[in-house]
Amino acid sequence: MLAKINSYGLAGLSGYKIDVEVDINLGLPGYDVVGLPDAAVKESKERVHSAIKNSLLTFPKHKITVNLAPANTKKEGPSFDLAIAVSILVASEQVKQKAASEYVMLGELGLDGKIKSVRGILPLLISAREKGYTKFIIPAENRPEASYITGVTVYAMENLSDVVSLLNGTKTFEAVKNRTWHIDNTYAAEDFSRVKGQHAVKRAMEIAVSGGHNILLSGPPGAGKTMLARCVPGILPDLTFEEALEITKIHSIAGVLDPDKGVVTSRPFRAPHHTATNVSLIGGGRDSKPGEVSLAHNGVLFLDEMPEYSRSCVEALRQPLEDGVVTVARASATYEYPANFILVASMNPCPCGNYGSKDLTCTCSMSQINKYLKKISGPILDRIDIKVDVDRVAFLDLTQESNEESSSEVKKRVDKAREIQRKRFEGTHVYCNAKMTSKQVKEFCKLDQTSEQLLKVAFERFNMSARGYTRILKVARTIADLDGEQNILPKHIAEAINYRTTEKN
Amino acid sequence: MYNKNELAILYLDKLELSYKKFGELLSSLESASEIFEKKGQDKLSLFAKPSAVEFLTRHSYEQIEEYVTKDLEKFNIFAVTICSSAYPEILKNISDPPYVLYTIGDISLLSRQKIGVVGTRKITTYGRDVANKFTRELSQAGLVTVSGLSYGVDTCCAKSTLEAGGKTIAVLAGGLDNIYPADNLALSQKIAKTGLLVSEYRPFVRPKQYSFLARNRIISGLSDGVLVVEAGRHSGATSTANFAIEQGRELFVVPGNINSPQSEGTNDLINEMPDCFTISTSQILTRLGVQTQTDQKTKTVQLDFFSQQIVDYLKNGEAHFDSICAALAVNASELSSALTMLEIMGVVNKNAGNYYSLAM
Repeated sequence: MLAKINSYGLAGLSGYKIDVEVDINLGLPGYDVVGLPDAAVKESKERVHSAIKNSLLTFPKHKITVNLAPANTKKEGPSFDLAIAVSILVASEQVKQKAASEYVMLGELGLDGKIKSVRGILPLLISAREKGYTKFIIPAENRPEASYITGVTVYAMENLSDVVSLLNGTKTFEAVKNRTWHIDNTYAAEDFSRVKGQHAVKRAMEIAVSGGHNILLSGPPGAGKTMLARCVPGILPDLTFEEALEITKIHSIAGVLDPDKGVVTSRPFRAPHHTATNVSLIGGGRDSKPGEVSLAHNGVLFLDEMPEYSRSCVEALRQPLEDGVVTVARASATYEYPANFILVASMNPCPCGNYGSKDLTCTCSMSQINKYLKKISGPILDRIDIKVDVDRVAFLDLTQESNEESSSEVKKRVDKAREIQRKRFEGTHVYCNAKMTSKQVKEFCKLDQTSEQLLKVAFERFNMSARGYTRILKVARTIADLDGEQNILPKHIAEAINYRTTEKN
Repeated sequence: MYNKNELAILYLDKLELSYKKFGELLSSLESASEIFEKKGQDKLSLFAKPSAVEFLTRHSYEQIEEYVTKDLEKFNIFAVTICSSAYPEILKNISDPPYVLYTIGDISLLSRQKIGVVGTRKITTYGRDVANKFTRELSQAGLVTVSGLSYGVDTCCAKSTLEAGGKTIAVLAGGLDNIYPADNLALSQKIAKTGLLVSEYRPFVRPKQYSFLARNRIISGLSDGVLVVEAGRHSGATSTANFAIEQGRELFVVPGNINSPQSEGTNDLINEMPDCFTISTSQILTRLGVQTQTDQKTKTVQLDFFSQQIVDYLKNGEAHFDSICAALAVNASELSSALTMLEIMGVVNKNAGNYYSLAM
């Protein structure tokens, strides 16, 4: 007999429908999977066989043909196990076809019939829902992930025999309940109140986060660059549900989602080690998985000791920094992943780290220093709006009791500035000052005559490039927003100039 | 364009003779142009390879002229030989003057009064301040500055001279077709426009380790006086200072922090020769006999109360952003913007690590 069950496969961030068809013919007992299955799909034979047997059901002793349609796309992973097993049960008349065809089924089977979790449930459910499917059977472990999707009936099942009972109506099960979403702000590793001094750096970070600007911290080892960077999550603006879903989709596909939470509740802070490869950073691999830049989507990508990253890695950041998306092209498929993040980078001023320091002697030669600084190319520096020096805090300052502002206070100002920007860019795809197009810069960064004059003088004095001009305007816009000012004033321009990323030596 | 003598020297310079052989050959010839005749060519054959002589006999004067000047024209280089009228007299009286100076730019600068400015490549904030202040004031007083286009003090000297509208000469340690260090390529092009690039090496000669030392003798040799800003012990700058003493040039040394490795050389020099102790431009100008204009314009800037407070605080010396913040009880954004304003006005310098100091 012939049977057909709906399942879904992943292609990048969205899913596509797969029909799992099973035909049982007379003939020598056998099992064939067609429709471009990969090794994991082919191996389903053994899992499905044992799972059916161990669920006290009958595995038909006939010739079984499994077809995964459409037959021209490659099928990957074990997530079709459940659909294949149910399909076989339908074809051998142990389950009713009518009941089974209402559902989209996803899940990997264990030999004992247990249904194991699969990655990418959230994007799969979302894209299936868009196509009008409303009933799903998914692994029990993926229950939290599914609980945030409204308008669908999802059964999160423990094992195969439960699925059969559900489909045959011999037992009733409760569908996954919808959960309300809440933001989690308790995750910041460090708090500004624990960083002594460094007012200039803190202010720069506040501006960077408020306007979504990329920031580069430069200073000797032990100055506190990493600690300061780890404070950033604490001042990031609150996540909205839509943003959370976007992040969750990516994390779900990459398989890094916390299985208990089921959804990302805080902005990601990704800090890949400097030995990271291009693929791990940008995405790719055999199955074109998202990389760190996409995992940092709507959050922060922290590159500690940026010149230590391989040059090609850093250069590969150009597209995501510019467009907010990264296109991963591989032989099998080309996927586009969102990658909208704030880049927080840190670096030493020279290989030994002490160049320009007050109390330590640098042992590098000038050409070594220049070579080191050149590891970060101009185009990348051009995409970093804010650069700030971090110097060691003297011991005396460290021991002094001082009242430092906490991250939550800074966050309030950041939220306010973001709110202004949200209103400003309403109806466009831009959401923060750093992403303004040149047309928007013209529209929103109008300068009065004094500011214009100031900028002109500064330009000549500091040998700034034409690209630096827009950067300063954008940063000045953010500073004005933090001030709650409608117009950019000379003092905003002046402060923005202070964070310029030009001149060496 | 070049007369016979000049052309002869340029030809000989292409033969890669050692400095000593070149000198012996020149003194054995009645005049350099003798090599275009049989008698001179016999003498030449004692010093150079037979092929060098053969080339002269086989080719016409015009062909030789083209052979010699082809590369120079390609890079817009003008060669000043030791027998040219443009060759600076002051350079002739050193023990080993270069036979040819390859130049790009304004050669009239060679006859002006010049001051060499040398120092460490790894400049400190203090060194930068000193180098900028001295070169600015010296070039405003009408002196031409001479430096080596290297990193640090050399770069500061060239840049601040150009900024002050003065003239500067950069002496290179390799052919002028290939600027070393390459980072200063843009700077060298600026210098070529208003100042002068000089090298004793013809195009396509790469700088060698020893050529930097040899270059230093030209820096001091071209100059009436040499100013050492910041120098480590056994550095190129101290070697230039020694050349200056040998050549009888005035030596001016600016003292530095006794703890700083970049000041060991300068402090040693002052220790050995207390006369060279220099703390102001006027000392240099008096010793070199330069007429100083008394109507020196002192720039006055009107500052608001807050900026004045900052300036007053910085009078105690360099200070970190945080300490200014704490001392004046202001928030980071106000201070940051005020400091940048002051920086743009040229009142305050921003140094590495968020330190600020008053501009000199």
